[in-house]
Amino acid sequence: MEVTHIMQTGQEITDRSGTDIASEYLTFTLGNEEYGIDILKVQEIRGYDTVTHIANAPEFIKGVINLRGVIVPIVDMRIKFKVGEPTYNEFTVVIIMNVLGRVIGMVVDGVSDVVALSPEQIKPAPEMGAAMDTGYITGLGTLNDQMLILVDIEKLMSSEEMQVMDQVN
Amino acid sequence: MTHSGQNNTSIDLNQFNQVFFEECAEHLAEMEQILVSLTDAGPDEEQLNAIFRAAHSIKGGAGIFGFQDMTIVTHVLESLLDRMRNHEISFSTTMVDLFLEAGDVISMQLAGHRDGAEVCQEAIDRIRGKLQQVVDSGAVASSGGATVSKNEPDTESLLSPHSDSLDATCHHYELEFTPDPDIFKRGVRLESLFAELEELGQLVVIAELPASADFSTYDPEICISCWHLTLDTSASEADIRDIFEFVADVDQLKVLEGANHHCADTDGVTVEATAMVAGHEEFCQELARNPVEAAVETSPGRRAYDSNELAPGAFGRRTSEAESSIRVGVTKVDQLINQVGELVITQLMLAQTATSLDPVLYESLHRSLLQLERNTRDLQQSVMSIRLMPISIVFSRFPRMVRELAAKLGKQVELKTVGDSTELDKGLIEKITDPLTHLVRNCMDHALEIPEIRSAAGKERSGTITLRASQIGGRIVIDVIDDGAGLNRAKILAKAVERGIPASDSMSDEDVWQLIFAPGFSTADAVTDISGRGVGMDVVLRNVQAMSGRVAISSESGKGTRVTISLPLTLAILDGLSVAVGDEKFIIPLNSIIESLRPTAESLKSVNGKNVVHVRGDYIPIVPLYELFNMDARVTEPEKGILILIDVEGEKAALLVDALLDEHQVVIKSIETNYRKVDGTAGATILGDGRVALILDVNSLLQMRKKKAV
Amino acid sequence: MSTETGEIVKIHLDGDWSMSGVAAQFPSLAECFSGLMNSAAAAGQQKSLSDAVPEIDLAGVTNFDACGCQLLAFFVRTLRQNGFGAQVINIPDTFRSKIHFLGFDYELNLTL
Repeated sequence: MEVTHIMQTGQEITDRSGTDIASEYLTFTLGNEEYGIDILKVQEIRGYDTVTHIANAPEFIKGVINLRGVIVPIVDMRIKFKVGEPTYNEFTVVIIMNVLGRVIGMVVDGVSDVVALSPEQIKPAPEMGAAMDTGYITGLGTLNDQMLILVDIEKLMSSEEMQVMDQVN
Repeated sequence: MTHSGQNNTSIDLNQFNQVFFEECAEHLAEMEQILVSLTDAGPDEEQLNAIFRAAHSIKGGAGIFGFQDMTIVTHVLESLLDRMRNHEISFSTTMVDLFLEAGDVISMQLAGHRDGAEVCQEAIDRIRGKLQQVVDSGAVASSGGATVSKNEPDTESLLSPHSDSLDATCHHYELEFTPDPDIFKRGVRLESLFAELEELGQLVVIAELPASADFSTYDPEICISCWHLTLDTSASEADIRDIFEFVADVDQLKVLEGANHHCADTDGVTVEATAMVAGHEEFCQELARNPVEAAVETSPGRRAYDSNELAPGAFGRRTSEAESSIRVGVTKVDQLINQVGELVITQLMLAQTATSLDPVLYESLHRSLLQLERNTRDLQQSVMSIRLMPISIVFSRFPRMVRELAAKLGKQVELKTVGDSTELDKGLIEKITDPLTHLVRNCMDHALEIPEIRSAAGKERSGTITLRASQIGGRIVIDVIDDGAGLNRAKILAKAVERGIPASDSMSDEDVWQLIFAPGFSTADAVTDISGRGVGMDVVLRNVQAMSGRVAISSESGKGTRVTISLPLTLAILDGLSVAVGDEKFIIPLNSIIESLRPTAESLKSVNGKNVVHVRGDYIPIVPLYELFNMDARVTEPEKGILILIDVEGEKAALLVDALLDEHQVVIKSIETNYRKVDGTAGATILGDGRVALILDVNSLLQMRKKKAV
Repeated sequence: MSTETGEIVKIHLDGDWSMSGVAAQFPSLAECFSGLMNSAAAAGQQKSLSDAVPEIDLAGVTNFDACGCQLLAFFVRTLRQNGFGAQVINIPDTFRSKIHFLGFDYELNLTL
């Protein structure tokens, strides 16, 4: 099982003109689409290892793992958003994220690069039918003819539908 | 409203100030505790002394830090208390409220300095006036007719001279005080410090500047002086060091005891300083050459106690505990507990790995690992006990609350506490405070009747609330018991029906009482500002359940009510039995288990369509875990699996699992930190093989079962 | 701050001589000192140094604490070390007892 740690630069990059700032995103694939999340929320990337099943949890919550002594829930986004084929092998990728003070892992089809996008490269998200609710989409990024769906991962993970966090009344 | 405060915003309040704030708060709490426990007879000598010492201590510390506002109030309080100690003013019950008010004002002032909170000057002036009034009127009414004018200590100047009374063993101390260079910046008033020393006896102070100072290097805000002091007193070195407690590290104060000699009863030392003092030795020689003149002078109003109280608690200092203690931050303790938890897991992993090694070949290894397991377990017990605190911390807030509420409601209530020394984890103490507070308020508001009704019912006019804590079977049990009117069954049923909560007359009493836990439920006719807003009991239940606890109620109409809260002993470790169901492992807490057995076919019966097992005359329902958890199991037939008999507050059940694995101590890991509470479980743990196993909560399991059955 | 009348140098100290004020007081003290040193040097062999006896007048001091005490003691000591037999006069009563209480009267050579 391989563990890759992401170097968190957390810096904003200036482009050549020196005035614009860019943000960095980790990109991953889910089904046929590419998504991007704020790199600062990403803690590490792991393979899929033994997961302890949680009784009576929804199907897309696979269970919990032991991450160096801390118990972390694992959510399979492929099942949740009904995209792709949920297989579990040595190539399966889990993105461990730090969201609202909690550590949560999500299984995706694959992880690509970390990209920097300047504000011009990001367009607002149209009301189209995507796998996930457009409420979670902060914008669409274009990079080399590739469309990147930028996700507010915090909003998504804390939502009621993900059932990963107790909802505050 | 004025903002109390010095110009302290630019000066960092450091650890010494912090200690003062904490100790001040403790003294105030102690004062309050004693005051609230007083009966009409008033305080006995010991109690009065204790209150006096607390006030004195606060005054001393406040003086050192220049918290003038606090010294002014505590000084008047102290004068009054001193008078009472000398029997010049007698106790009256109204004084209790007065002293409580004084304590509140001083608390407010303390908060002003500590947190920058707003301070109400009118309240300060008011209490000062009231206290002064009592002092003055007391002076007029003092018995004995002696008109010796008492020398009131000057509130402005702390430098009033005094004399010691004789006949106590006198010590001669030589002190060398080399304070922190930034002692000036910290706002410490050395004059007050030395004044306190002077109260112990005869003091001579000599300041010394280093010879090497010059204008190019001198920083006026940095303290470069050191002080040589001689003190003749009957106090102990510990008492002296106590005065420096907030100001100096141990090594900044050197105390040397010289030859004992008779303490002269003088008003000060007169020594000719003939030349500038070059060094300490020279000065001592000077002193020896010019012996002190003994002038007998009785300074009126001097506190006689100073030399009489040789006990460690004298001079307003905290009584030294049987064992000394140190303050440690909670985060440090938690980190320690975490690390020990990790150690336990690592040890488990080692043990796991070792099972595959030949026990004969690796005999010494196995022996060592066994030793390691014992050591680790002991270490864990010790570390866990650091966080244990007596429940008296929670109980102590109630006497005052009950007293004030009783007055407000026009009821007479006596509060009893039992099992104050029962210890529980600090985290639980914090979380149990709110639910208990609500229960006690509820009691006062609804359960206890006004004196007239009580006596009409043949009861004593004064009602009793008993808070009882004990440790039973690995859990902490807290009872809130009252001898009030008891729960009104009919009213509760009616209200439930009104609120649309399913209820029927055929329900047992226990089930009817449980109805009051429903959200929004309140049978109070009018919403009082104390309770009855209907937000109470369901929040209590939720809070208790969040601690993996349970609440039970029993009540008898006209006699009283008992609410019982039971909590797990600790949140961090557990003796558990690991069991297998399907591919998963679960941990069942040992103290929930009565026994485990493999049932014989004959013992398995069916009652009302439910599978039960016959054990020693009882028919116990079988609860297959795989069903509750919707999992695949290897074993679906009870006679092929293992039944674990559990008992939940009298309700018995038999959990069906595939197999028993092992019995061991597990470290409870939170699953809620990153996920959420899982029904039927109370935390999780990491096994020796690195996998996560859920820890079952038997109470919750039975609830799940009931819900499923419905 | 200092006025020279013949051999007696009067140094008037005033204002806030507590922790909050010493930082402001210090520069003028330093100046005064170097002024004295300079004039003594200028006088050279013509006058003996011990003729100049600075009188440090505290009448104008409004606020005083241990920090100020230390500064005063330091000032006095430095003057003395450099041959100026400094005297402290006109000490307000409350400060007098403070100086005594803090044990600086020996440094300042005050008669008790």
